[in-house]
This record gives sequence, structure tokens and C-alpha cells, in this order.
Amino acid sequence: MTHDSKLESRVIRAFVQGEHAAFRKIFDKYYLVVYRAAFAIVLNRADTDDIVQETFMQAFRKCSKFEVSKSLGGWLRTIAFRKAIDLTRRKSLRRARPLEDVDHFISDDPKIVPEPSKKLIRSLEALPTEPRLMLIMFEVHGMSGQEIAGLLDCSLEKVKTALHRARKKLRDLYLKAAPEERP
Amino acid sequence: MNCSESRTLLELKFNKELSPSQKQQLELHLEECGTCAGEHDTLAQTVTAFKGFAGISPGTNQDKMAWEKIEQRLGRSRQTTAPVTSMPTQAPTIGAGVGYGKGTRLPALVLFAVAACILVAAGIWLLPKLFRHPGPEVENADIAVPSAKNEFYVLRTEPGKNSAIVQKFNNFLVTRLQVNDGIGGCVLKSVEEDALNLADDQGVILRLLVKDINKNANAKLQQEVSALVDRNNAGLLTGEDLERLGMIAIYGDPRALKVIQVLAKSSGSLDQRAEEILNSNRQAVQIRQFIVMAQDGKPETRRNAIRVLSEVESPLALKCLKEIALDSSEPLASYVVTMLGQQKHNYALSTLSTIAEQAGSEKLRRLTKAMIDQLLEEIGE
Repeated sequence: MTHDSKLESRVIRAFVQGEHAAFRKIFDKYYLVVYRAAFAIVLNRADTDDIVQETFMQAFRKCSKFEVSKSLGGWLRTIAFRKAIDLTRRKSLRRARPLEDVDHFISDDPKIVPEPSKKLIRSLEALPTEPRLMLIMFEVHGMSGQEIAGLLDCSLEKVKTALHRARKKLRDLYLKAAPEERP
Repeated sequence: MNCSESRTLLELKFNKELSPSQKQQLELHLEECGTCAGEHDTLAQTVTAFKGFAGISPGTNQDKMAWEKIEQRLGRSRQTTAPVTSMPTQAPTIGAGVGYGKGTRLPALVLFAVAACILVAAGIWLLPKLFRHPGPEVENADIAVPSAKNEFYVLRTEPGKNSAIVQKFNNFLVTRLQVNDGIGGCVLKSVEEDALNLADDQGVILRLLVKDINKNANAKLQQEVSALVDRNNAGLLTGEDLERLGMIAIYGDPRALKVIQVLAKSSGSLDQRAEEILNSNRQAVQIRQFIVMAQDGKPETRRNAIRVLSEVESPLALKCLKEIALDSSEPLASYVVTMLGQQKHNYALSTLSTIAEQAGSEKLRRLTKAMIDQLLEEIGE
């Protein structure tokens, strides 16, 4: 067992026994992980905030089912993914979002204020829901085709084909999109 | 290989399923076929754009607000469910860890982490100073580094092994800091990519170290921008402040850019200079993009970027070309020198002179000198 997992398992043990402070520790430690997992799928701030809350609430309720030997971050991320995917599917009618959501996509690091990201987000929004989810999970979260297939409940072949098509479609949209206006 | 087969391999490549032999075949084909190389490069460009997602950050205090809401809901759920068990009073015994409840003793890791944090802070203060000059040979040095999970541990370097890597890392920092002229930490992000290229886990450790330096440097930079913005709002911005904002804006800081944009549209004393800065910033941003391509792209992309940079009369661009000529393998180094030899500006001449002085390869030195002679002849000196 690694040092980190030892640390985590101790947090989890305290957490399972109802220690409120331990839950706070988990929240502090994994808030950004969960936020990023959710945002990269739903692509807007309001839904991300909801998913973050729901994810931690579910983690609190179901913590006794968590296996200490597994990665807590991975577990939370999966919960966030499922909730984000459910929400995205429910809202599969794509809607226009106010620009502030995109503008919120700002990093602490001025060098990596992701100039191409607004353009990328807009291009991603033009993709159909399922291929978009697959592409984001693959490119942003580094998930394998098999993992994506498992999460989205489809075949590996379907994932591979969809990834390729979505990537090309996104490329066309991304390259044609107007350059970003500087704020 | 024909183009149809190449497209299949491209699909495999971007799906991360390419075997080493297929990779080799594909690379050979891409070097010969411009159409497939274009297909590859545009897909790669799109995929690279996803890296921006790594910078997603919730707003200030967003985490606190989220926690408050969760806590409210937890409070409600606690009132409606069975009372929770209290925390065990005995401290956990497995390894070093963090205590979570009343009665737990202060574990060793907390002390260790505090000590490590002090080391990191000292390192952050010391690194920029140390790295302005080639660093000393590092032997048995302890470097505090953040782990992937934001705890700290100390890496004990081994003489003759890690020292070379640390030295290499020093060189990256020296180069970047010089190139970016005082912007400091925020440019270290690009060093992170260099560190990643180091083949083993040392690369990862260095990357994390850079991340930590970045975080601190960025916090300082953010404070500086806030102060400059405040000064502007109070009508106290000086020409010097404006120049500084210009430097910061090149690295994508939206607040700095906004101030300059507003000033450029105004009719105040700084408007003309603001407009000049705005124009030069646009160029600097573009040059920076080409520098990245020249340093890290595929061979064809690198060559194209090198050609563009050689035409630009910019110290930043020429410095990059000099580094490529001195650090790269023979064909690329010669390409840089040849491209510079075709220019007719003095920057190209001075860069070629430096390359001629510092080149390790006799062949490159000879070529560079021939280019200098040719250039001098064309310029008419």
C-alpha cells in the first residue's frame, strides 16, 4: 500500500465512522478533481456546481461501500462522471450558454489562460452528445476506450469509431471557428 | 504505404493504439506526403487544444460556497437520520498520517510536511537566483517536491545520477527566464513540458516542482497585476507601469491586456504608447506560438516555424533559433543556419555569429561561417 493510500484509508476510516472533519478533508482534497471532471463534461459552471454537490453528498451517503484499497479520487471522479453524463444526456438538446460560463474557464496561471479553450468549448458543443462525451473522456481524462465503453454502456468498437469521427468533426469545427476575441 | 493505409494508422495513432513499427511506417509516410502530414497536423492541433482543460479553475471562494451548501444538506440529513458514531479516541497507528478528530496526536507527517514546506519555500526563493547562472554540481542535495497528491516529500538526489538531470533542468530554467525577461514564474509552465521529456520519474518530479514554483510565482504576478490595475483605476498609472503591463499581457493575462486596450482607446497621455504596446504584443504572442512549434512540433512543423522565425526581426525569435541550432541534431541545425543566411537583417547576422562561435560541430561552424560571408556580401559590408 502506498503512502497516499495509507493516508486516504485513514481518512476513509474516520469518515466511515461519521467523522465530519474527515469529510471536510476529503472535500478540500478532491474538490478540484471533482470540479474538473464535471466541468469537462457539462461545459458550464452552473451544472458543474450542482454535480460537485451531488457527488460529495453521494460519497458521504455511500462511503461505507468504498473499498479502502481503491483510489478515492478515482471513485469520486467516477461518481462525478456518471452524474455529469446523466445530466448531459438529459439535456441533450444543446442550449446556448451565456458567455460568462466560458469566461469562467480561466486558470490561475496567466500563461495558460486557455486562449483556444473557448473556441474548443464552442466547437465541442456542436458535436452530438455521445461522441462528445467519449472524446472528452479520452482526451481530457485520459480514459481508455474500454473504460469509456464501460461507463457509457456501449461496445469498445463503437467507442473507437466514434472517437475517430468525433475527432475529425471537431477538427473541422475548431479550425473553421473564428479566433477568440481577447477580453 | 499509400494514403488510405496512412489514414487508418492516423486513426490508430490518435486512439493511442499504434504499434512501434506502425508508428515508424506512418512517420516515413508523413515525411513524404504533404496531404497526410496536413491531416495529421490539424488533428494534432485540435487534440492539443484539449490541454487547456487542465487549467479549469472554479471561481474564488467557489469551494467555500460549495462546502457551505453541502454542510447545510449534511446538517439536515444528520437531523433526520441516526446519530453518527463518534471518532475513536486512540490515534491511528498505521504509518504517519493526519489526525482528524479531537484527541488524535499530532502525527509525524504533519511535522514532516511543515519542514518540507519550509524547504520548498526556501527553494522557491533560491531557485530563480540559482538558475540565472549554471548551477553547481548537485551532490546529495535534498529537494523538497510536492507529490501528485499535494503532500510534500523530500527527494534525495544521488551524486552522478540525478545531478545531471538537475543540471539539465537548471539550463531549461536559465534559458526560459532569459527569454522571457523578468516575467519569471509564469513562463515556467513551458519548462514543465521540457521536464516531461526527461525519460523517467525524475521528469515527473521536476514537473511537479515547476508546478509548485509556478503557483507561487503566479500568485505574486496576480498581486502585481491587481496593484497595477488599481493604480490605473486611480489615474496613477505611469509609462513604466504600462510597459510592465505590456510584458505581462504577452503571457495572456486578460486584466493586463484590458487595461492596455482601454488606454489605447482613450485620449490620455499614455494612449499612443498603449496602442504601440498592443500592436507589439500581438506580434509577440504570435512569435511565442511559433517558438513553441519550432521547439516541439513534428519535423515539418518545426521547419516551417523555423522559417517564419528566421524572417522576424525579433530577439525572442532569434534567441530561440540560436538554441535550436546549438542543441539540435545536424539536419535541423543546418536548416536554421541556412534560413538565417537567407535573411538580410542584422539580427540574423549577429545570431549566426554567435552560432559560429558556440557550435560544437565543425561542419555546422563551417556552414555558419559560409552563411555569414554570404550575408555580409549581400548586405554590402
